[in-house]
Amino acid sequence: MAEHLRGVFWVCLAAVLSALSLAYAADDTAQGSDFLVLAIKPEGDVKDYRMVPVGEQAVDHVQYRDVVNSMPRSLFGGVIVRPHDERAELAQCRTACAANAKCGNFTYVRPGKDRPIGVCHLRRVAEKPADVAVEKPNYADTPVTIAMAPVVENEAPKPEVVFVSPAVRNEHKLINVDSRRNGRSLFAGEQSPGAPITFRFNEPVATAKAEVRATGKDRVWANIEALDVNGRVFKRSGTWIASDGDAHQVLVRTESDRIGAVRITTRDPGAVRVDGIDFVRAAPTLAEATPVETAEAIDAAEADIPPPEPEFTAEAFPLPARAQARMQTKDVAESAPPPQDQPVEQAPTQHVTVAELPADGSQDATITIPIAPAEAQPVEAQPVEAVPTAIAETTTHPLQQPPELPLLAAAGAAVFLLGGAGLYRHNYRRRTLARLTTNILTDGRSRPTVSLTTDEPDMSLRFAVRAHATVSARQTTITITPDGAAA
Amino acid sequence: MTSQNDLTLLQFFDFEDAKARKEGLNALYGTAVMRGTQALLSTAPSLLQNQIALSVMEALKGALAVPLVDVLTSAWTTRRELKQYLDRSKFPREELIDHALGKHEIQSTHRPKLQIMLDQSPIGAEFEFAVNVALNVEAAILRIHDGRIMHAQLGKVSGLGSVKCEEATLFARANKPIVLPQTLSFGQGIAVPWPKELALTSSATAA
Repeated sequence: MAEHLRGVFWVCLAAVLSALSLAYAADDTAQGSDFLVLAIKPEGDVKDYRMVPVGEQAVDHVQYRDVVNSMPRSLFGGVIVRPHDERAELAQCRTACAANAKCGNFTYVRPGKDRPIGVCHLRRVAEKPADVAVEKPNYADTPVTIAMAPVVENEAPKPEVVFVSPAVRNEHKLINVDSRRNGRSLFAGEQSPGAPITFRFNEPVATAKAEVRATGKDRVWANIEALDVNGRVFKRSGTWIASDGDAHQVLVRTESDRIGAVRITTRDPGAVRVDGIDFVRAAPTLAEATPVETAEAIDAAEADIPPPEPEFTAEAFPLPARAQARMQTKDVAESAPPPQDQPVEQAPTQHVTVAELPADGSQDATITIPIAPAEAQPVEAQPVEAVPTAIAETTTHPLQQPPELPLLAAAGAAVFLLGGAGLYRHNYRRRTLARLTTNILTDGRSRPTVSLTTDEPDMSLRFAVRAHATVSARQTTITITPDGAAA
Repeated sequence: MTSQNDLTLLQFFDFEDAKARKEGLNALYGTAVMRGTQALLSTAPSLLQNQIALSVMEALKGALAVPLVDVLTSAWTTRRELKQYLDRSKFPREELIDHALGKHEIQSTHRPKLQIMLDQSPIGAEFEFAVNVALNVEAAILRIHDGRIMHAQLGKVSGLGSVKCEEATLFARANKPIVLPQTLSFGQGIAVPWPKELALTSSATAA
């Protein structure tokens, strides 16, 4: 019996040890091994990069240095590097890994103090994807590991879907808006997605207006980016969102249907929530060919209600409280009850179909926003007006620097330099000329050579005053004696 | 009585005329003393090299600030006939004598010298100039009292002259009339020198 137990003990111990070794090995395999290191070299336009190989298992410092030396230099010899755009560089890594059949995972290393260019470590198959960790850089070699699904060749690329769930609200969410009509998407209460979030329209729109609300106590700066159908940012702006509990509108407008997606980000994840998004196209397309899930409700209740007049809304002008949806509510009730009609905390959105999580309680789900009937807002029932100009009326940074200031500063610096140069030149000239003097040793007048020549004899007349002409004098006599005559 | 001190050799030679000065500078650059001084300043800043001639001309300007009347009086005092008025026994003090000079010519030459100084040290040779002035006076009546020339009355006066450095003529004047006051007053009077002073200063020739 004891031997049997001893045997069982040793078997269990061996199993534990093997399990541990396998776990480490799995971690090692899950970690993957680097087979290519690429430097993300900024080249060309703002969002253009070139992936340059700089090593295989590790970064070759010589190759990396060559890449850095090939960068443009400033007057002071430093490398001119673009402002760091981590999202763009991550996209470059993701693209490079997707293009390489051997790549199953990649690690992105941010630029640091001693490393002006970020690098991507392409790794082989990674069975266990690591969590997304976008940490603050500590300028040591702290890599950021981004998980990716294994790439299978000859397989159609899957649509990019980001998991959204209440448990991971702070991740960057992507919401696809399938509608091809002008409309509005609303979110109720806790269903409102928080920033960072991207609304992608399957059909580009001309105007997109989001209703955002701050969740904290302080006002929040929200960045708004408009992307075209290719995913390139063509408009970037921002606005302050006051923490008054009201929804504030953020508008992006173009002349034509150019907006493929709208991205809202904040410094702190979840600082703002998006209660809804309105979108309008300049040229409304036909109705959808494929019916959506709630087609009857949508067809019956949906009206091509144009959004209200686009207005620039700053934090000082919060939206009024939402009105009760009367007409649409009635229409919706007559046609068909909305499925999974969950009660909404906020009264104005009670009778409107909103985006909601599945009822099966699954934590992860893909959210696709169908067309929700627009609210019966009498004020908002206005015809759509074509956007006359191609001006995107987004808020601008409150502290906009006047364009004349750099010119004035440059002119002032030029005047100062010229004045200083002139003053220096004047002083230099004066000091230099003071070194040279000319002394008059003699003017020659002390020993002049003077001669007088005449051909005629001199003559003279002598005048003798015999009596002075006073008041009491009887007469004044003047005797003139020519030269040679007796007096 | 107008002031007779305004007319100096500067106006006599048109020293302030830009063209005349430019010609004088060009002539000065051709002298050996100027070339030698410039050679010594070859390592100096170009600003100094270009300033040498201008500095010399400015110093010469001071040497030419001689009133023309002084030239006249210097010549008249050399006249031998005036020394007789120093005899008090023949010409008492209370007597006034008008001594008339006929048409006469006055030749005057004086030689100013200049030295270039760089940082308070002489550099190069001395610049020696020869200023020649010839005045033709139609007539002059000198009022003599107590052995002193008190004032003079002038007739027409004309003159010519030159300023030379080595053999180069810097300034030249053709024979032109000179505008002088008709009566020149000498304040307390110009003393007629005794004969021994005449022997030290000049040699006078009388017709």
